[in-house]
Amino acid sequence: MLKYRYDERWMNIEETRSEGDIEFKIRLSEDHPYRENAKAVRRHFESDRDYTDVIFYTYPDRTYKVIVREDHYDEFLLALMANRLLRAVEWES
Amino acid sequence: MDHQAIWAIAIFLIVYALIISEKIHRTIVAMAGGAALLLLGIVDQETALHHIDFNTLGLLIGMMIIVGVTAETGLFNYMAIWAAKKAKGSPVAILIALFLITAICSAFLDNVTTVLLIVPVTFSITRQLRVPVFPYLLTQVLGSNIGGTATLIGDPPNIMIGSAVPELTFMAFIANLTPVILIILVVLVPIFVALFRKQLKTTPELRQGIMELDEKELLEDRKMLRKCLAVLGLTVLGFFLHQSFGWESATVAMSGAFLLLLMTGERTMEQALARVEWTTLFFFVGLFVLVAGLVETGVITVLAEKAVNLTGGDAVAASMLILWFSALASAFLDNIPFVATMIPLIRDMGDMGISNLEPLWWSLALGACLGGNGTLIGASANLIVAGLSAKEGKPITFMKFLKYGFPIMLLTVAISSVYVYLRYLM
Repeated sequence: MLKYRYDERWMNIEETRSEGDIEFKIRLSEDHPYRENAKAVRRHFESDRDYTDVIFYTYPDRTYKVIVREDHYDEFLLALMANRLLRAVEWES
Repeated sequence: MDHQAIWAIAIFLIVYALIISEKIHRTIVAMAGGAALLLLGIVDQETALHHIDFNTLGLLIGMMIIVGVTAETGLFNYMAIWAAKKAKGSPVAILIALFLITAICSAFLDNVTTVLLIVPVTFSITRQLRVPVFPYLLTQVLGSNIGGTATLIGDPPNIMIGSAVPELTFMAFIANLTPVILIILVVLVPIFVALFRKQLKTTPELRQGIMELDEKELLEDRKMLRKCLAVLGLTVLGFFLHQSFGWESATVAMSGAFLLLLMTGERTMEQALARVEWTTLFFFVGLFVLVAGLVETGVITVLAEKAVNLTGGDAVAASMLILWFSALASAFLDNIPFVATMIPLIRDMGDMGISNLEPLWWSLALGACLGGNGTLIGASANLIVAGLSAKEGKPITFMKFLKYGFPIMLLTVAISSVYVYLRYLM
């Protein structure tokens, strides 16, 4: 199983799986230094012509629900890493 | 008929067949056909240039630039989510709201652009509600073709007709076509509810998920949005007033586009110009030259004589023939080359004794635009949405589209027939 590392003071990630999708609930605190980067991740996936690869839902107070199709799981994690929202990803047995 | 006319017809038919076959890109085919006419000396370059309608091209370019820049602000996503929340997350109410938004946007924007803006957020909403996406995509495609019929700038056939007939101004299109389009929209709403109500069930929790969305976060660049809205407003105002000032519609659209680029800067300009659909514009250029071949060799005049003889010069028969023939032809053929051919034909019919051409122009606009809803290949927006849906693993087959699209096309053209008869011919 993949384990994500991120700064828990400023961020919280919940992950659930259903029907071939991975659903993330991401909350960013107001003090998170890279809180605006979540928008960059959203823009990245909205700018391609694949409309169901990663679907973003934006809620108040920097809360995002993200539905990620399984074949785009790696790409989504890489985008979080590239935008400094994740610090590290590692396999955990 | 001389040998030049036979060559012009042959090239035109070959181009048409290749466009229908979709083996080669339609722009390449149209431009190659146009080049063949020039190389064979059927039309000289000067005459060909004279037949290219730069007002149509300028209007399309101007609107593509304005819409391309506005789309980047997140305005269309905001509108869709806002509407979904106003509909209280109800799948049926959202279906109708998105249908009407698409129709209204299409009246002022290109149909393909409109569906490309609304489809991504539709996938997002239907995924949240866990309802099938097909009813939404279908009604949006139908809405874009219907809404586009309402104004001079809504659909390429109208742009071409408005450009070819100076007295058919932006206001004339609104006064003559918008009323019948509003009637059609009102008639279709209960039909869509009845057709899709049973498929669109969700849970209160999933509806709540829509209600809690923060649509304001979707507005990425509010400063840019204000500029876009100001320029869009001015441009639409310009369309309303263009006849009073003696401006062509392309002048209004291009002025709006470059005013916006003046306000937003060089970087935006490069992105906006890169997004202009040059392939579509060159397709138009090729078609204008192909039709020039038919006009210059007298083919169009012969066809017009036959149409006048067939209808006995009667305005009612001619209008109904044009309306239904345009609709059925546009259901299976690209309506842009069809309208490009029909415009000189109707002009010639005027020269042959049909004194009141106005109902014929409106019949052509209604038939060519609404006919696009008949089949999956009837309009560019249909194919674009079907392509996007297939890519997401939800293909829309020709027969599935036909099952809904063709009866709705027949209904809308029947409503248009009654409208044209009562308003212009009775």
